[in-house]
Amino acid sequence: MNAVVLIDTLLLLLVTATAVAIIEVRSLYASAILTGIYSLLMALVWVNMHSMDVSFTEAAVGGGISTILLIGTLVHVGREEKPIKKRLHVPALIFTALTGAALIYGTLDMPRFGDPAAPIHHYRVPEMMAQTVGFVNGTPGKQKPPEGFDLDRYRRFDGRVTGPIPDDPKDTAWREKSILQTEGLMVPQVRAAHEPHAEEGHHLHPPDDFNGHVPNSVTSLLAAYRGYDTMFETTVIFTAGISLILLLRRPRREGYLQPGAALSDQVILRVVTKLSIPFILIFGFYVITHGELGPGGGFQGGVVLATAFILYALIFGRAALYRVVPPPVSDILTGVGVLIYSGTGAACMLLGGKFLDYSMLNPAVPGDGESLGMTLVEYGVGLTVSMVMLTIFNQLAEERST
Amino acid sequence: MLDAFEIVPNLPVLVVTVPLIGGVLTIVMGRGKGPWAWATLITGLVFYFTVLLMQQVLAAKTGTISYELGNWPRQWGIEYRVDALNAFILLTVAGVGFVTTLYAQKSVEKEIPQDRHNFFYAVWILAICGLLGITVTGDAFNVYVLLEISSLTVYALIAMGKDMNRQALTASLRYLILGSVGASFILLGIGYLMMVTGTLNMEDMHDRLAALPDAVHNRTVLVAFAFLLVGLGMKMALFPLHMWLPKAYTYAPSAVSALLSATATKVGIYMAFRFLFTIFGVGFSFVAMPANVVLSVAACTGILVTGVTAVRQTNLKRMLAYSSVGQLGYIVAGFSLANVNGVAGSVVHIFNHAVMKGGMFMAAGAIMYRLGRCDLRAVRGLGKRMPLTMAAFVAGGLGLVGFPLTAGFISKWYLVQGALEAPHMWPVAAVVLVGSLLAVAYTWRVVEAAYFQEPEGDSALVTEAPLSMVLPMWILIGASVYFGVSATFTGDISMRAAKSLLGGAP
Amino acid sequence: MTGALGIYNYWIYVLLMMIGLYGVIAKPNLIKQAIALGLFQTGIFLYYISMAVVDGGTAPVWTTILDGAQKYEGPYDNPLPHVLILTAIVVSVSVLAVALALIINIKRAYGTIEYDEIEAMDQADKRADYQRGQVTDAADDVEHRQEGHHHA
Repeated sequence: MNAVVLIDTLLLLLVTATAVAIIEVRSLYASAILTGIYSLLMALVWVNMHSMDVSFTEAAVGGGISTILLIGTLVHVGREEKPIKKRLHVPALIFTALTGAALIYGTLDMPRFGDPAAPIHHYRVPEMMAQTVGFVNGTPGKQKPPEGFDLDRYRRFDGRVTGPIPDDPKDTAWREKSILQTEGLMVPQVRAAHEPHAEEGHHLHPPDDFNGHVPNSVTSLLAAYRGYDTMFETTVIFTAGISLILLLRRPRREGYLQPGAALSDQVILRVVTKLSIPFILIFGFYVITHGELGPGGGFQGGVVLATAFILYALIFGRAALYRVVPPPVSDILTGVGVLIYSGTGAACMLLGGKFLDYSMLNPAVPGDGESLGMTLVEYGVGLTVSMVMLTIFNQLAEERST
Repeated sequence: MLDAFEIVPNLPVLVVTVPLIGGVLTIVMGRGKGPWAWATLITGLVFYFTVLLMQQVLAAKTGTISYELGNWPRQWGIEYRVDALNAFILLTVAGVGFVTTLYAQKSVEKEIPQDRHNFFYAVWILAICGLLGITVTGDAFNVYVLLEISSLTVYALIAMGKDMNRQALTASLRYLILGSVGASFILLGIGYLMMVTGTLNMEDMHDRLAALPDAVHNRTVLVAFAFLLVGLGMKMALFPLHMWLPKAYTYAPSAVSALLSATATKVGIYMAFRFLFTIFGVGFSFVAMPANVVLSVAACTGILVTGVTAVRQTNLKRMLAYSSVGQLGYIVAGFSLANVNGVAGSVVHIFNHAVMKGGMFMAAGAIMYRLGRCDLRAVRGLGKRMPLTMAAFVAGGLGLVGFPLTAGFISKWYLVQGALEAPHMWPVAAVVLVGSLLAVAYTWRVVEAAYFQEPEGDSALVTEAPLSMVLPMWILIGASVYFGVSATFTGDISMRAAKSLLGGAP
Repeated sequence: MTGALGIYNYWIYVLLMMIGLYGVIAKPNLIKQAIALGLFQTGIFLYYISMAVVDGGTAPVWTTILDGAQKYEGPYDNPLPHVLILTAIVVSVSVLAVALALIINIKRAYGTIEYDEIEAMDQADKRADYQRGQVTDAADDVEHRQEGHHHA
C-alpha cells in the first residue's frame, strides 16, 4: 500500500460523507456551502492523483464560482427546502442501487487502479507525452527531410537540437541518440509503444512538436492535439453566458442597475481590496501565460481574473464595476475570446494549412509557431472565461430580490 | 497570403466553424432586423457548403473524406470524417436550419422581446453549429463536447417560450436535468471504451474493439454498450425515455419547435448509428448483443402508445410532438433490423420526417402567430381562412400516414421490405401499418375541424399567415412531395449509406 | 495494486454518482436537483482521473525541460483524461449556471421552486382553462399523471 492510495482512501471517505450531507441537509444555504467544501476536498483528491490542472480548475470553478452562483441564486429563491414527509425515497433508492450495481459490474474487467499495462497508458498516449505526434517517421519515403532541410529549424530555445533526423525510414536508432533519450524524456512507456505513423499529406512537424517550449503535457494536449475540443469548450462557456443574458437580463428600459448594498463604508475592506486587486490580476495573467510550463492556463487564469472584478463589485458596488466594465462591453468581450481562438485556427487555414495547424504561424520554426498559437488561444480562453463569469455574476446579482 | 487557401479541401471544417464564428458575431448585429438577416446569411452559406460537401463525397473514390484538425495524425488528434451518411444528415440539418431561419423572422418578432434578438439568434446559430459538429466528427469525445453545445443552446431556446406560457420554463429545466443525465451516461460510456481501447478516434476504437480477445464477454465493454444505449435513447427521445420531449416541443417558441423537431432528435439518431455501427460494429451490436430486440420492441411500443396518445391530443403542437416520438420509432425500428433495406429506410426517413414535421410545426406556428393559440377549437373553419397553411398541414399529415406520392411512402416502403426480409421481424411491418392508421386518425381530427366545422370567435376574422411564413413552410412540404414522387436522389444516398454502415467501418 | 483496493476508486465513483442520481430523483426542490446533478457529474470526473493514475507516477510535466540538471526517468501519469475532465468541468459549471437561471425564472413565474407544487399549479391552470372551455384537453391530464409519477 503506497501513500497515494492511503491518502486517497481517507479523502474519498470524507468526500462521500460530504456528498450525503449535501443531499440530506435541510437548509439550502448549508447545502451550497457544503458544495464548496466538497469541491475543495475534490481538489485535494485531484492533487493526490497528480492532476494539477484539474485540481486548479476544480478549486477555482467548483470551490469558487459555483458556490458564489449558488449563494447568489439562494438570495432570490429562499434558503429553506420545504420539509418532505418521508425522508427516504424507496423507488429512487432501488433505481440507483440497480444502476450502481450495473456500473460496478462493468468495473470488474477494468485494468487495476494504477496498472501501467492498461491500454490507455501504452496506446496512443505515449507519443502525446513525448510530444512526437506530428513527427512523421513511418512509411518509406515520408521520413526524408524536405528539400533544403535545415537542422537549425529544430533548435530548441536552450540552443540544443532535438534531432538528428535519419535518412533511412527504418532507422529508429535516432531515438536512442536523441535528446529525448539522453535527457530521460524517452520514458519506458514511450519507447515500448513508439510505432511508426504517417499519412499522405502530413508535413513534417519537428521531432519534438513544440521545440521543448511546452513541458506541461496537459497543456500540449489541451491546446494543440485536442485544441479543437478546447475551442468548443470555450464556446460552451460563451453559450452559458449569453443564455443567462437571454433568460435573466431585464428589459433595457428598466436599466441595468438596481440599488444594491455595497460594503464601501468599511475602510479596511476598501483598502485591502484596492491593494489586492492588482495582485489578483497579475496572478491571473501569470496563470494564463504560464500554462505551457506548469499547471494553469486559460480557464484557471480566466476565473482568477473574474474574481478580481467580482471582488470589486462586492466591495464598491456594481455601479462602480459598471463604470469599469459596462455590460455592453463585457457582452462583446465574451465573444472576442471565442473569436481569438477560432480566428487563430482560421488564420492557420488561410495560410494554407489545416484549421488550427499552429505551425503555419511560423513556417521557419514550426515548433515555435505551435507554441505561439497555443499562447494566443490560451488568452482567448482566458478572456472569454473571465468575461462570462463576470456576466453570470452580474445577471444573478441584477435580479430583483423576491 | 490568401492564395494558399482553398475552400473545397477545407469544407468539412468550414461547415462547423462558419456558424461558430457567425454565431458569435451575431451579438453585435444590433436590435432590428440585423440579427435575423445575419442568421439567414450564415445558415444559407452553411447550406451551400453542405451541398458542395455532398458533391465531394459522391465524387470521392473511397466515398469518404477525412480532415485532420491541426494536421495532427487522426489517431492522436481530432478527425472530421464525412461519408454518404453524415453528408446526407449534414445536408438535412443545414437545409432545414436555413429554411427555419427564414421562417423565424415573423414568429420570433412576436414571441421574443425585441431587445434580445441578437442574443436569441446567436444561440440559434450555435445550436445549428453544435448539431452539425456532432454529425461531422469522427472523434468520440468531440461528440460529447458538441452535444453539450447543442443541448445548452436548446435548453435556452426552449425556455424562451416563457413569455407565452410559463410551462416553457419547467419543460426546459426538466429537459436540462434528463438531458444532462443522458449526456453523462454517454460520457461514462466513452470513458469505459477509452479505458479498454486507449483511443478516442471512432475508427481506431472499432479496430481495437475488434482485436480485443472476447470483447463480447468483457464486462466493461458490455456496460459501456448498455449505458451508451440508454444515454443515446434519452437524447433521441426513444420511447420510453421520451418524457422530456412533448412538453418541450409544445411550449417552445414556434420557430424553435420547428427547428428542434426537424434536427435535434435526428442528430441523436445519427449518434446511435455511429456508436452502434461504426464503433461497436454490426456483429457486436446486433448479433452478439440483443440490441435489435431491445430497440425494435421499444420502437414498436413507442409507435403504438404515442400514436394513441397523439389521437387524444387537442393542442396541435402537442399532437405533433407525440407524433414525432412515434416517427422516431420508425427510424429506430428500421435500423434495428440491421439489413440494407431497413437501414436505408431508416436513413431516408430521417430526411423525410425532418421536412414533413418541420413543415407541419411551421403550419402550427403560423396558426399560433395569427390566433395566439393552436388547439383544435382554434383550427375550426381555418380551411377557408388560412387555406395555404392548412393545406400544408394536411399535405404533411398525408406524409406521416405514408400516402403514395409523399415522402413518407418511400420510407415505409423500405421499412416494410426490410422487416419482411429479416427473420422473425414481420411484426415490425404490422406495427408500421397500424401506426399509419393511427396517423390517419390524428390527421383526420385536424382535417375535420379545419374543413367541416364552422369557425368561432377570433378564428372567423383571421387571414392567411404572412408570406415569409407560408413560403418556408411550403419549401419543406414541397420537398416532401417532390422526394415522394422522385426518390432517386434520397433513395440512392440512403442505400449507399446503409451499405457502408453494414459493411463495417465507413 | 491488487485485490479489492485495486478498484476501490472505481467503486467510490459509482457511490458518488449514485448519491447524486438519488438526489436528482428523490428531491423535489429544484436547487437540490441542480446540486445533485453536479455531484453526479463529479462522480464521472473521479472515474476519469482514477483511470489516469500510473503506479509510482507523477504529474505529467516534464521537469527535465525546466531544469536540465534534474533527471527523472518516469513514469508519468496519463494526461489525456485530465484534459477531457477539464472540458467536462467547464461544461458542468455552464449547465449549472443555465439551470440556476431557469430556477430563478421559475421562482418568478410560479412563486415556488418545489417540483410537486409547480406540478399542482400546472394542473390547476389546466382545469381553469378546461372550465373556461378554451382547451378540451382530457388526454393531457392522463399524460401528466404519468409524467408526475415518473418524476415524483
